[in-house]
Amino acid sequence: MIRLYLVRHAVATEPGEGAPPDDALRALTARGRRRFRKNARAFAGLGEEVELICTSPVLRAVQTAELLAAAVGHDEVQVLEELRRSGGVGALLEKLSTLQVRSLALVGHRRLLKELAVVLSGIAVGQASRVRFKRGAIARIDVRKMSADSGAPRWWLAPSGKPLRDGLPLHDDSPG
Amino acid sequence: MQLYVVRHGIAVEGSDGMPDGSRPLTEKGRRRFLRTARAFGKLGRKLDLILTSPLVRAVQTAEILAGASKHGKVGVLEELDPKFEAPALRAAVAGRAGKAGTVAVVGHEPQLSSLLALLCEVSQADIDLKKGSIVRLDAADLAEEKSDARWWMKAKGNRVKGLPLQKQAKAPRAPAKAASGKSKRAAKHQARKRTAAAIPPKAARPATGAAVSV
Repeated sequence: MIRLYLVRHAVATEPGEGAPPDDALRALTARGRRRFRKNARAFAGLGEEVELICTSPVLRAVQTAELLAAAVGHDEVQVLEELRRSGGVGALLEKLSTLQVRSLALVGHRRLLKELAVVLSGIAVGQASRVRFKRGAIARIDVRKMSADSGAPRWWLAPSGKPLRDGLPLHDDSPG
Repeated sequence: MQLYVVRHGIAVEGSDGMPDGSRPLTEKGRRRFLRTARAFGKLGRKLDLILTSPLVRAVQTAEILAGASKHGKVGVLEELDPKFEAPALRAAVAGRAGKAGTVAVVGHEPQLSSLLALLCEVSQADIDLKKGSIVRLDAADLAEEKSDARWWMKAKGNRVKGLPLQKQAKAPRAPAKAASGKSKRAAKHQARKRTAAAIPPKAARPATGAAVSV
């Protein structure tokens, strides 16, 4: 069994006013950093062991991965091109299946993480649209192997630092 | 204003399918820079603003620095991408720094030594900025006036006066190693001797900081 931790990057400057036009130049905001550090500490407090942290090469994801690495005292962060926003789940799964690890954190972007969570846990289409990954959220999925329908969502941590919740981050589970 | 010029730590070599901008730090690079950053953190200075190049290895270095020191904002400065020239970078740093009293910039070679050369009015060829080192400059007016190089440090954490300069081609490595086992003062002394030896008599002298009185 492999423990997967899906981590969406924390709050970054929005494109448009005051922010750099280039998506690759969007950095985490001070608030995004603060909140994610809190969440990362809460995660570290669970004592979950993370063998490897992988991140999208996009700046805000790298920053998030580093905050996570600092919180869990980790000294290896790998970059996976497959975690880019534009990436597909198939290519990502293929890449992940080459990694020989028992626990893995993936720091990336909303759509791909959501798709990955849906594909791995094989949840119903009706449920899939309810999956809502907030920025800075961490979700744990246990998988037998890196392929469709082979995993079971365990819990997730909201960016606000609220206690663990079961399953996947679903729409209705997050009041306010 | 205090400006800290930081070169990113050791990164993995490029490989097929990995763009240069995506190369992360190696484990050794992280460990080493963490030591440097902790040594810097012990100085107790707050960095009002940390600016990083958008490339992964620099972002990671900036985050490690932020994690080990008191800091205000952490931002990205596009001009720290090595494709920009030093004068453009100088102007951009001066612009972004605004009223910040202490600013760190994390970037790449040869752009950073070019920046140091420009700011301190020395020859770029004399500068040897190793990966993961931090150089401190004092600048009255970053955009216009000459800056004063105060010290630089690497993983061992001891501060060496002036700019990181090229060793003379034939200088033996042994003294540097031996110095590490001695007292701080001895290490400093060694470093000073090395620095002094590397400086041509007049041209680069102001870079040591001692002779600057602007």
